[in-house]
Amino acid sequence: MQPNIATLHLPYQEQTMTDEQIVQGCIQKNAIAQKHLYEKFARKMMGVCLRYADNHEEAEDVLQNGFVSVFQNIESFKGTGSLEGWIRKIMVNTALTNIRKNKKLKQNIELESVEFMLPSTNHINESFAAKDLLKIIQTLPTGFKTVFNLYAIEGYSHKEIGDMLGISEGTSKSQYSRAKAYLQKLIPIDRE
Amino acid sequence: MNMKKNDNIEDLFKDSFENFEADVKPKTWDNIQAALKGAGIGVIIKTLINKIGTNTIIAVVSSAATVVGTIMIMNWTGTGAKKEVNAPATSQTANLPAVKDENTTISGAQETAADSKKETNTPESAVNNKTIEIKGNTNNSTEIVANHKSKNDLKNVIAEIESEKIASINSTAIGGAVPLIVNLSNKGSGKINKWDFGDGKTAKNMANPVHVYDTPGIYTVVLTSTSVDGKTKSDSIKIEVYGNSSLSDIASSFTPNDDGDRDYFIINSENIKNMNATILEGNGTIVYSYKGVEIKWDGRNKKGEKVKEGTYYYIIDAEGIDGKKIEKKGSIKLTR
Repeated sequence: MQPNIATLHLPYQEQTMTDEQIVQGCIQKNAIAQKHLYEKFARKMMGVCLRYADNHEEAEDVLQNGFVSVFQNIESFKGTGSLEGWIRKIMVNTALTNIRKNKKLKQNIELESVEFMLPSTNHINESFAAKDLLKIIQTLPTGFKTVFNLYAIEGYSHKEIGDMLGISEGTSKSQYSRAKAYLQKLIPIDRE
Repeated sequence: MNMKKNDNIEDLFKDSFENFEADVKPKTWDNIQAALKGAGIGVIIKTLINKIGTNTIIAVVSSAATVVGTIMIMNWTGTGAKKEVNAPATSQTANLPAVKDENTTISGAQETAADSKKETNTPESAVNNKTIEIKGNTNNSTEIVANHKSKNDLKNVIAEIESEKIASINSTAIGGAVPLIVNLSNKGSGKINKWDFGDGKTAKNMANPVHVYDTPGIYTVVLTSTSVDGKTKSDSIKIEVYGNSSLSDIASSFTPNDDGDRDYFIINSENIKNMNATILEGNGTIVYSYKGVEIKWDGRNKKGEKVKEGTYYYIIDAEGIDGKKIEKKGSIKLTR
């Protein structure tokens, strides 16, 4: 009789907490739980914030405000979806608030007719790492960038995006297709 | 990352960003903590604004008083709460709002606008220092006239805000493993500080005490501080101290052939109260078992005979002095 291998390889991990324990702890404002939550998700959420921000500094600001909001509203996390998904939603909302605050969005969306220039290296032929794609995304005007992020990466519908950004569904669609066309121009198409 | 088929640009981006992570400055966590810690004061500024919003005429005074600093601080602490006051996005700079009530003396009013501005650059206030605006008046140097009804309210609220600043604990750590060393200080204005570290120990008249926690537990540190004008306020924080019992990493193979190299299957421990180890053959027969705080198996069974080469399984249960239960299971390859 062979000992059950499946259960044999579960090394004890120091200070591991389940998401549920983390949430419970955070509701009780337990500092250790808060730190756990932060350390578990900070790097990933920074990845989200960077996509919406113009630069690293702005992303840090959004991340910071986002986490404050996470901790202050942790009680409203119902546990129906994943904790990560919930935190991500808050980050995205915080990023949008930040954009709205800076009025960048409206301005950019209103400037529909303005064509912007492709970067001089108009094709990036190498393989794409996420950080290369990030650089590309960050060159997009705010309106394009925001709509592209929300639709293609976060998976919201154009109707939802319209509601979130206070623009029409049609504007969201046209912003998106223009952003997409721009990205396609920039990234060589590889048809196998 | 591999080149991806990118005629579907959405997929390319979605896939690439799925598990994308980026570095975060360590300072960010400090800022978050600071913002959370101050969240209680955020409520007060909201109250303040609600109260003065309707009954009082407010002006923006160019040479800012102490209250300005307070408002700036409270502003960042209020982040995340629903914004009762919305600033136009353009009001990014230094029109610092100040509230002045003719019957309320604001001490230390000599602080200059430059000082207040500097304050907005501190990490704590970096969270959000742009959202406050007191409605409708951006002219400098206008007098404020408060009507009678709101006067007392305002006074109380301001007094409350001021009191917040007498005792305010700053700690280098709010949790960690024993022995946990924390440097504490009073960020507030109070001059006479009494500290209760929550573990039965106290300190008097120390502005920056250093305290060591050597037993796991959750401790409440209470600072009671008295200002120069005799007001006493207190602040508290919780510090969670956990044990650090642990087992060493376990190798995946050993060679008990007396050549001095990996002759034993060894598990070391730290702060472990007791440990049981059982080593089984592939067929489930126990070849060796051991109780103690260290394990050192030489590859012999209970009778002292050398066991044959092959893979063995171990099950280890241990309990730390801090009550932590550690269980390790795995396999070890024995060759000679």
